[in-house]
Amino acid sequence: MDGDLAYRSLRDLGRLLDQRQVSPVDIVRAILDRIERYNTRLASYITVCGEAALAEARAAEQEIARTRRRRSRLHGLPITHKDVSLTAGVRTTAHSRCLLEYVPDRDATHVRRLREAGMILLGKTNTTEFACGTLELFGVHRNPWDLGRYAGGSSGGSANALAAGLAVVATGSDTGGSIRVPASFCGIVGLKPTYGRVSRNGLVPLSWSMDHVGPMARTVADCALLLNAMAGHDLADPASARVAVPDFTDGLDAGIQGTVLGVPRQYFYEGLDSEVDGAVRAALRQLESLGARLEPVDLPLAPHVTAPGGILIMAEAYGLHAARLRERTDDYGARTRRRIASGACYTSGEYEEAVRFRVAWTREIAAVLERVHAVVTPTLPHPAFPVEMQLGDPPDTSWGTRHFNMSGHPALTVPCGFTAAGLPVGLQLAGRYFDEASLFRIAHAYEQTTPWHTRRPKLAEAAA
Amino acid sequence: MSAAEHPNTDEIRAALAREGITVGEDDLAAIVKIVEANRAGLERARAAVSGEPEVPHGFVPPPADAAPQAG
Repeated sequence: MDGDLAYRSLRDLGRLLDQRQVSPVDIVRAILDRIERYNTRLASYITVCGEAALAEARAAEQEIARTRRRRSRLHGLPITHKDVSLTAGVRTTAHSRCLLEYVPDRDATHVRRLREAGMILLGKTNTTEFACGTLELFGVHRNPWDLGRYAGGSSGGSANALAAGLAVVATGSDTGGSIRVPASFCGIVGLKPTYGRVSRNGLVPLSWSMDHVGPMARTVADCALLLNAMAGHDLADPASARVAVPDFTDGLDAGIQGTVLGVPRQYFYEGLDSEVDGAVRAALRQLESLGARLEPVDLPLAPHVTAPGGILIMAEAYGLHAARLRERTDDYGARTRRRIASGACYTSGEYEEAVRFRVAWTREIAAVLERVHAVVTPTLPHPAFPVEMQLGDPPDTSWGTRHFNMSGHPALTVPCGFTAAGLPVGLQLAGRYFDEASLFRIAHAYEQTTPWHTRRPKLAEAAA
Repeated sequence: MSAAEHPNTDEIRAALAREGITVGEDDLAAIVKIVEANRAGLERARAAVSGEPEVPHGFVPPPADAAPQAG
């Protein structure tokens, strides 16, 4: 039963709790056992809240027994947060020497909301340093589908924990693709919501205008359920939007008959790994067979997003890190230090040019999304690459994802196949502002008619 | 190309020094590479935008009181 529990969805586990077939303690213990067994090799977690999680589980068990109901559909179920989300009483390192001893006295807003919904904190997952750099202190999060390969960054600990059954659901942050890239590499689902949908208050920041917080899970429905609790206006984040939060699980099964999907003519389908190309084109045919209409769309600025996006991220990151970088230069890992310091070198004119390009790109993609319900692209042009490449000179993995951090549109990745070597391939859907519900509906329709989300990596060699 | 060979290395070293950031030659070479790649990409991006790009009044995506777009 324990091994089985580790891969159950939130919905299944909630049903088992409601039927008193398992307790929150059973679930937490099952996941902790797997963390104990596999974490050394996978480097999923920086901090594991073993005893505290069991204590929270016992408290949830008692509350549910006393009140004969669960506070919410999330009550009594475990959650895992990327180690850039502040957690009261639990250290938050951002994988940096600068924050090694940092124990916040408050929760990030999304952490608090999930805690108030009754979720149990299992631990803090691995990330590249400050979500943009080095992996020197807590190891490289490895890909459960091939331990010689990288899980992707920066929310790689959340992604590989989910793929390996070391978490039930998780949160991540995404400044250029940091939820979607590891989700794609590890064969799970990840959503970057609309800018303003989920508060960033209490997130160790990288770039104020590009940072997003979002849900990660093994199924689309679990992502939707998690977003229900994470979303909502928050005065503590100036960018937080005053927009109603629907129940994102409503309409999941409504199908996609008549849904119009834009397929970009430029950039996104160029130079793909042949197996990625094959998987994504098969996914397009599957979406069509489910009733969607595919429409070619023009996005001539798409090939040019990377550099202006890089300037914005690093200029803003430098602004945030300047004082600490001066005082503690050597406490930053080399890659982090170099990337963030690069932000000091752009002129205000160059920053302004990058913002102007951002406006042009945003208008271009927003105009396309007036005509189609969502744009469909590969999440990455290639599957996960070897760990050695990540430690050396890795490719730009924000190749197809940074576009929607620039424009603020919601974007989701869902598994759409495997290579012959058994590596997952991801399909990205980007939608209209605040219309995450349509992305969930489309992705769920696809997911439920394909087998990819049911596959599990073989983990024997990953045991400690 | 090493940092010493790049024509903008001195400018970038000076920008870092102005900010009080002290880096070694390896760091400098890496930073020059990042900055110059992004500057070249920005130049191409600027050229790809037709007409005069609109001057943004604040960050655009999306206004905090935006009405949801139904799917």
